[in-house]
Amino acid sequence: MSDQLSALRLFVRVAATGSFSQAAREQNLTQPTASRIIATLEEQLGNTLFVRTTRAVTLTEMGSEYLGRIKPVLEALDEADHAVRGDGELRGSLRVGVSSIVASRLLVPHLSDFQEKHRHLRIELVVDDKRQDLISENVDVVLRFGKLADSSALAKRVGRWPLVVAAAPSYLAKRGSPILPSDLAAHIFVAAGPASGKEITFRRDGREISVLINGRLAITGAEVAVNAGIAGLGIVIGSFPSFQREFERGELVRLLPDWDIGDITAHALFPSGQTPKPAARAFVDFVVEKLGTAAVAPTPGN
Amino acid sequence: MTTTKGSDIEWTDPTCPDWKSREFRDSVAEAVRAILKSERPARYPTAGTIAPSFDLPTNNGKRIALPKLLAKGPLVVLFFRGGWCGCCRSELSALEAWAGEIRARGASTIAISSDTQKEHKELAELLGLSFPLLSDTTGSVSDQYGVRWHLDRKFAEAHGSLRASFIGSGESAILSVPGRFIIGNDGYVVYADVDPDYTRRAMPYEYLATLNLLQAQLD
Repeated sequence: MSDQLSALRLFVRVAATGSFSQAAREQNLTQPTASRIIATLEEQLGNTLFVRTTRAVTLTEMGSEYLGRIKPVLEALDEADHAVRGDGELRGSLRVGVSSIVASRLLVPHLSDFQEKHRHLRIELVVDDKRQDLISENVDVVLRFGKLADSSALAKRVGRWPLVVAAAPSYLAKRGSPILPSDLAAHIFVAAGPASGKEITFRRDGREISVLINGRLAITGAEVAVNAGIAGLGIVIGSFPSFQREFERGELVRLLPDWDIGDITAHALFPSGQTPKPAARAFVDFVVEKLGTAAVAPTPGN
Repeated sequence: MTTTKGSDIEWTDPTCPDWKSREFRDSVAEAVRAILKSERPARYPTAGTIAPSFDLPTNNGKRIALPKLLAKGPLVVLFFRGGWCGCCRSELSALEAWAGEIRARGASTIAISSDTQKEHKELAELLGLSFPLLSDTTGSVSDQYGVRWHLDRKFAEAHGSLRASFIGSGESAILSVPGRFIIGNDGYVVYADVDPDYTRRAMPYEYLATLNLLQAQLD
């Protein structure tokens, strides 16, 4: 790693992660080597790029300005490489941040199609049910359900699906099926996922009924919450496609299907201030194609 | 119209009167369509939010304030349009039939409209109501509960044939739509049901699951 281009790429990563050791690991370097490369770069420029303290590495004013000029250049180079190859073949690696439920239910079942198309692309799914930070996790794109937090990240809408309430037949056999939203006060919810608020509003023909969710079990992992629903521990709330498999298998039954409880939107987020990687763009187009039109067939109510 | 005979409750599902005149039925249908199309109030207190307080005169010539009502336990609040509304009278009668069940769960019932105290007094006597009717003649409480809807003049004229009384007149008439709230004794709303189509009526037994839950939480 002696060439100028690699040094610049390293500089961009140190700036993004705020850590010499993390950036070094990403580039398969030792931390002392990474520090030396940046020191050499600073010598060449005759300017200090980073303020190094024992706790953090932050950009100097000059470093910040330099980053702003260098980043688009590196991205343009990547774009040029991609264009010259000309075959649409994506190379390198793609890091995708997703929640467990999206990964296991929506992405993994379709991923082989994408991999078939792009045999030289290495994909890493960074699975975490917490909101992922695009920069520090060094992901190229994040798929996120629900409201977008204030963020300067570039967002593209992937799809929108109705939210549904559902329960296992074993649960309904024990506790009865709710016929009206008001019946839910006699039921138990498994609180999880994007709709883990404390209130749900049911809408039908202008009528609005707002009920409290009575949750005795809260689970931070959405995938585990669905399993709890299948096991009959309580009523679960989620997007229609995330329960589709269970509806088809009869493991979950959609409740109060005549009532609308709102939608959930999924977005793809790209790190701000960068042109999204061609691989990230191709991946998002693929997701939109596969999921944006995911069939939302009505399921038989109970 | 179904009549339900429970263990000790005999009552009729609340419905609107059986309007004989086709013309009148059509004007009701037109009125409902217009309300459904009109803009919803910005908000009403949804479950989990604090119930707006009030202090209003009753049909017995006294005043009742929300904190005093909540000191006794949870509260079922029905907003109705007025004694002139046949559908509302039907729901009030059904609520009276279930008032004992509500009391048995440690809760009390009130109903609020923009009618005067005198009108409420006559209505309570006519229907034999055991729970108080509160007069919100300025509509300020209905406003806070998001059940006061602004109607345009054309609609107000169509509705005028129903002998409805409005607050205000001219360009913007204000009409209450039915609203039902259950407030826990901690002052938080636990259930809210706002339905602009006043010809649809809630069954009072819809409150019982929520009241059971509140009672279980107190025990």
